[in-house]
Amino acid sequence: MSTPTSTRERVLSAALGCIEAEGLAATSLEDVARAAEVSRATIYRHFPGGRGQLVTQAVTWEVARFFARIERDIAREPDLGARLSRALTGGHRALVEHGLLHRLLRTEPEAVMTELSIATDLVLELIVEYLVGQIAIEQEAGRADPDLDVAEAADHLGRLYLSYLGAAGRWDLDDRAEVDHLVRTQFLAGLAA
Amino acid sequence: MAAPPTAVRPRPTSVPTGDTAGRILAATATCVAAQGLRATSVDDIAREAGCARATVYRLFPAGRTGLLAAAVELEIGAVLEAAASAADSQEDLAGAVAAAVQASCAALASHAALQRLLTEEPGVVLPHISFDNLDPLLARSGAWGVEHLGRFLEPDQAAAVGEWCARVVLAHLRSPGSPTDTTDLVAVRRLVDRHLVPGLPVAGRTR
Repeated sequence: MSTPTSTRERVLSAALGCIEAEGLAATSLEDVARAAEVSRATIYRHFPGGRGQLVTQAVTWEVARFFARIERDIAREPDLGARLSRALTGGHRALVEHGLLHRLLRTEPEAVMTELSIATDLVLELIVEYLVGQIAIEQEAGRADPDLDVAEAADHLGRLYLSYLGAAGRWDLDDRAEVDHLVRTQFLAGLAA
Repeated sequence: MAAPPTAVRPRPTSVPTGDTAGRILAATATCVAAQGLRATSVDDIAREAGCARATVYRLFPAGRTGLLAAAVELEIGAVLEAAASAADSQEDLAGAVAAAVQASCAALASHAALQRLLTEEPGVVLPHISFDNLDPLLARSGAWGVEHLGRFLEPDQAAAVGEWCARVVLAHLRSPGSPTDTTDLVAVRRLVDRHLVPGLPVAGRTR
């Protein structure tokens, strides 16, 4: 990476590396300090809550990056429907292929779910905000009802999206036709005028 | 639209039945509501249930882990039943779906032990209803849909709506700051009318 990363990001990246190598419980502040090549004092300066806060923020950072990648990936799609389709297929596949997540779910399910529950709350806020903007674009383009309760719709679709990401249920999220049908009937149908 | 083939039919964890097992599970809920799971010992549960420690281990050999799994299974069953009663009392699809979702959310919101765990020890409960463990639950909800919404919809659609209900209920299990209070029937009905019904085939919406 050519752009310089802040100390905070270096520490978060190092923490993630330690978690990858040793798991959540075994990752100590000292391990991270060593890996990031900073002092313990430096870590406490950025993470006054200590090890616990560091681990939680490392997980949250990784989750935020995961969704930022999805957002970049879907940006060039022409409308919300196409974006949602691509976000469902791509997001689900990326989650299935996330080796660290699945390893932690096997070895430390309680610890990882505790961290993820915090991260998910934050990420949901970001997703809802994104959807509010997207719905506004659809309204402007005449594809969504101008009298829609946007906050309610964005919250509902954001939660529904995360639900599908976590578990595909009866849907084959690798099948383009199925995903388009899902998006049309459960995401877009409620936005139309 | 075909559902992906599943190798294993969804089958709930078997919960020990009988008065004693029931008392032990109720005692577990009482203790967890009062002090959380980490602080609850098998001795606490035995005392609350009025039985011997050995009895608890005989019925639940995996100790607290087994008790938790059994308690989760019991609650899932109770919620599906509450949802069924609610849906069966309604004359049309939107009413049935809204009633089912609201009843499920209300049942979960009033479960003191669950709420305490979600707030203070989320890692204890969440693995049971997340990622790979969510799929069997969604499958059961699909079967629930076929049974209780089948009078309104074709089986495939009924299963999809059953799964939708489960997703909405679970997505609101912890919903700080949601504009939709899913324990409020009016709010749920609005959600169903707006975001579910328009996506269903016209012919299938009312009896």
